[in-house]
Amino acid sequence: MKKTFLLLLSAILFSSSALAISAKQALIQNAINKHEKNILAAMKKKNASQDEIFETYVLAANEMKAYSAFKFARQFYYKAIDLDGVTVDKSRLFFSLINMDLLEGKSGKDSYDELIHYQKKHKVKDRKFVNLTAHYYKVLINQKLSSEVLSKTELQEIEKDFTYFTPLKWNDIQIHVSRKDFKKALDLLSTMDMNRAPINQKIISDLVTVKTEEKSNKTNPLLCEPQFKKYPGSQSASYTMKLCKILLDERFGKGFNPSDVEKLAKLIEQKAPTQKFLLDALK
Amino acid sequence: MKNLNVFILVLLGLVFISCEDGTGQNGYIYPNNEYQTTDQLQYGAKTNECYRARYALENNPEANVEQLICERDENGNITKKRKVTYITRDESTLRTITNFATSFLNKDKETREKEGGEGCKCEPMGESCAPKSCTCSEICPATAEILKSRQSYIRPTAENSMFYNNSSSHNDTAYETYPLSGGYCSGHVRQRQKFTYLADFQPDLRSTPKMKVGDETWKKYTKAEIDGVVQQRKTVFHGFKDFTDLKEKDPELGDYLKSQLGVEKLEDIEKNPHMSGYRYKKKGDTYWSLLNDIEFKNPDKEKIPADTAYEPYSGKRIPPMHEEAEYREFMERQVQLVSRYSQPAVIPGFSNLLELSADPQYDEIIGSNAAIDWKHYAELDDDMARKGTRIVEDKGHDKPMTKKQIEDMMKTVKERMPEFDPSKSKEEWNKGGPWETMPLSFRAKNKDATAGTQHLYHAVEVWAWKKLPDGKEWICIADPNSPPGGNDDCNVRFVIDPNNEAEPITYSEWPNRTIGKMMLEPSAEGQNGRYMIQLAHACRHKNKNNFYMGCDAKGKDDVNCGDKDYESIDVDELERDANERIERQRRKLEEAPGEES
Repeated sequence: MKKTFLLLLSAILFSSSALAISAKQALIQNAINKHEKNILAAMKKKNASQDEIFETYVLAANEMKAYSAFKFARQFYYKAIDLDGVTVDKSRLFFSLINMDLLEGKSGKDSYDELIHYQKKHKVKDRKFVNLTAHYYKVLINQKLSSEVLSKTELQEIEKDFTYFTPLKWNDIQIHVSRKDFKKALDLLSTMDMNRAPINQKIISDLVTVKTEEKSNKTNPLLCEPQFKKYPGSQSASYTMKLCKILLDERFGKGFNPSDVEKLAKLIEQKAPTQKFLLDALK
Repeated sequence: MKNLNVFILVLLGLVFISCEDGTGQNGYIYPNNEYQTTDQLQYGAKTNECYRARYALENNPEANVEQLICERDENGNITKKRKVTYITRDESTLRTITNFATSFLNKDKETREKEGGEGCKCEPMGESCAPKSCTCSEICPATAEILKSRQSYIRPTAENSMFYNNSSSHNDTAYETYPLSGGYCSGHVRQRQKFTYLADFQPDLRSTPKMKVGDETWKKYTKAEIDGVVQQRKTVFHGFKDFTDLKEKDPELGDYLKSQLGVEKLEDIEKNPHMSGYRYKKKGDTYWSLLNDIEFKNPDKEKIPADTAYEPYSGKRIPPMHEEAEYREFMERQVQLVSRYSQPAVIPGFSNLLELSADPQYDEIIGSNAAIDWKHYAELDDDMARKGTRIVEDKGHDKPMTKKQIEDMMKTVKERMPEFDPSKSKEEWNKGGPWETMPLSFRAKNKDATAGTQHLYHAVEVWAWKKLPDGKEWICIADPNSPPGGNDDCNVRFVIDPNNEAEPITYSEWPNRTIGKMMLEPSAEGQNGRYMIQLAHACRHKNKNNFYMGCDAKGKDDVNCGDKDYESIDVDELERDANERIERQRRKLEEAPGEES
């Protein structure tokens, strides 16, 4: 039954162009309501437990989230959260809500507060991994360095587990860059090998390189340079390549072209709003 | 042209093209204009692939039926025509049909494909030789069979890999303090999987603008293609036969070519091409091997006609590559459909993932979505693994797995992943499936207690397994930390040695670390199922008017699937429905068999 429900939902979403999903929202909403009713009726008939119904809502929500259909994913997460008589810990559902908030450019604080409220109300014995994830999101929503948000013990837990260690390091690099503490960002970056990293990580490293290098020592090529040279047309559509051009111009004494910076701002706004800190660092 | 020929076929009357692979049986005609071949009656609809090819004209139930018996090789080429059987009332019509059908089948494969599909094949996600010659459940099964179409993408060859890594330095020194530059390993695994399952790379699907040799459009187009040579993607030039000819025809473009490729590379291409008609093939000059396809069309023409390509799912026009802004906008949508929205999409103009992800615009998209996926799946697996074991949280997970745990894991690996056969070529390998890969998380610990980070966690992708004569087993791995091509041939692998209790599992990439608990990520089941269903829907949408006996009938006859009533689709029911239809046909035939000549 669960399988059918998910198939139905995925079928619904397929027919829409996911990028223009809003145009079919009413249709999808009706379809979801209709099938949800049927599924619940069938589950009731089979005497499904509250945990099973909960699991179905979570699966449906995860499915929606996988298609980036956040509006519908939220509905199902909240249905799962509001369901009474469930024996499992629901903390993880709040992480999904925070995650979606952040991806949509929201602060995520409201969802985080809901998590804290839930955890206070529902005590669970072992929340080790849940706590690690909570530490991670606590840092992200505060937009501060991990050392400014987490206690020493919490930091040690993160370091020991390793799962969130590097992602939090990236958070710290971004915070340093946005504060123009380029030397500190460089210290963290120097522990990493960036040569074959994705371009959106390389470009952060390049920005830090340009901002920290001695005027007399500009011999090393920027990491973004080979791709920039090979794909000259990509800067019209890629914020990393537009920034690469700006950095190359600055490096060779041409200075900023205001029109390039304006275009960069537009590209970041449209395609990568979470990378706005790069703009702040340029100014 | 394709539509015109199909239209002619339809006008000509009922043409029943069937290729027979050894039995020499005849076709039958049914009063309700649905057709069945005898082997289907005998073996059911899912056997005898060649017999499934058929063409029926719907509007003429009383019309003539022609059956051509032929043998084909694996590529669908006719090797032998064995006999022609007619059921007819009108000799003149028959002759016309026969002539046309014979000439159709006598044409070379390329022409036939243009006109009607891939010959007598009903492959999942494939093409059939004429519209309505394959059933929905043959071309678009909502089962794991549809993943067969992904066979060539599964193996992590250089071409099937990302241009970049999650990290490149994990083994540069014995121990690193913090070895990862990426940190989003499971996200990178998911991204390669998405392109493995959902991306339909079609390097030849491209638009050519109307242009005249020497005009501005031609110059712009040619410059964009020269850029393509540098970028090592498939390129198609028009209006000259080779680069020497180009330099003579337009010195300005000749200079551009020289400046972009460099004198040395240009000379190399000019002097040492592996020619095949007007086609060069040359090894790329980067450290991983990538063929660069350069094609020269219309070498002697002055006027090049427009040839507009359309995206097969949405029907949208694909802008020519030299219209860079429009083309990039279009491509961004296609890449995001796969990378972010988990939807199948055609990736026109590119041959493979390596080519695509080398372009910084798409590198940027895939890289950021890897971070997003990492977050999604970190949560998802926490959820899905509740009933099992979450390996990152419990104590003792740095310790080696027990024999029972290894056996349980290998059982799933063998059920869901193919066996690796090094004796077979990349094209031949794994034709029989299963066509799945799965993410695998594991813990490890440095053997040297004084070295760097002690506890490590990593996610990789399992794509095959192999049993060795000495009882050891391999799990073949695509590691997001390895460079393109570094994962092929199962040279990145876990080795399981059941006789070594202290260290039953070792990892080729981490020789100085003890491998702890491993887990095939539970969310992969749902994820792979989702990709399968998405492929089936995309296939049904694309072929909506092309099925023999319609598709999602759901009690109605001949309802085209793909764009109607999506919320009512239940794939299990569709399968049942299709089987019932076939059974009905079988009963009808038993009651009143058709004429046989």
